[in-house]
Amino acid sequence: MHEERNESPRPTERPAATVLTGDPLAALEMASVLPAVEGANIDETIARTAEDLLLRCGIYSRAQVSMGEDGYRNVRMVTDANSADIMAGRRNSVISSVQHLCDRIATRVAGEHVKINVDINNYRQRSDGGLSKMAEGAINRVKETGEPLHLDPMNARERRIVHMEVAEVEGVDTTTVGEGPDRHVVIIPAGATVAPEEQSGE
Amino acid sequence: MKNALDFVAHIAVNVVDHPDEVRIRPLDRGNEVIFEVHVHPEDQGAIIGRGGQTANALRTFLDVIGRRDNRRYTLEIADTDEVADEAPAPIEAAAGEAEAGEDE
Repeated sequence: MHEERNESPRPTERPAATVLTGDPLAALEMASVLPAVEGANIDETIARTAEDLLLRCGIYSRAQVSMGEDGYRNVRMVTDANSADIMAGRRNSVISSVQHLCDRIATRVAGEHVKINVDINNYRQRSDGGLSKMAEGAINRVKETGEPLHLDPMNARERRIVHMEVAEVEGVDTTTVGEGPDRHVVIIPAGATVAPEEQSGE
Repeated sequence: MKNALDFVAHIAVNVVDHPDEVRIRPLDRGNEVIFEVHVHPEDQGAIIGRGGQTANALRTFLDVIGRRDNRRYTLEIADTDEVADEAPAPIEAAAGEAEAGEDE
């Protein structure tokens, strides 16, 4: 018996999908519905829900919730270093996913709509500064080349930061294209449009 | 695969209105496992989410879990028509009879 950890996935021909179980499995046999908590301490509920979500992926974290001025609750999470590695390269989508699922579940448990902003390991706080810088560079580039510039996909909050950044500069404009995880800002010279085939918009 | 399956089950039952009707079928395609999720027709919107947000959030977590397991997990939400066609058999045999009141 070898203790080899990498079972190098050898791509052979692709087998047709085989059903692993006869009947579809009833989800309730594997999971339970979280009970609604009346008069729940909403901050507590949100914090535990967020921690629980990460724990289910093997990520240990602590969450602290505080009320922001904008009416959103700020959920600040801290993880250990190992877990930070697991999220590397997809921090943004992990954070948005925690935010979205936590919102859905905590709303259900608390019986009241919760509006939250999640940050993990201060990533967003740090990246907001970098985002403005990046936007600045992109704006200059569009002004020089006169060509539209597609930025990387971002979540709504980040896109808003870029939109606001661009709105302050004359001669450039923004538009948003793509769906779901591909949704991204395009910086364009004022008055220009993005080619329709690139615009998989709504 | 257990963790990934449990995760999908956990989220699914906690975002829909008919948790007792959530069924998950794991399909093995060699280098990836597909979790095919069936829900009550009224819950189709809830499991997918606005702009696909809920399903995509699930996919993100499946990616993270897959990285740990060295496997690729994907998620598919089954069409409601498909459910009606091929998933008439509820799984709970004895225990579920008393609560199984949600039939059309």
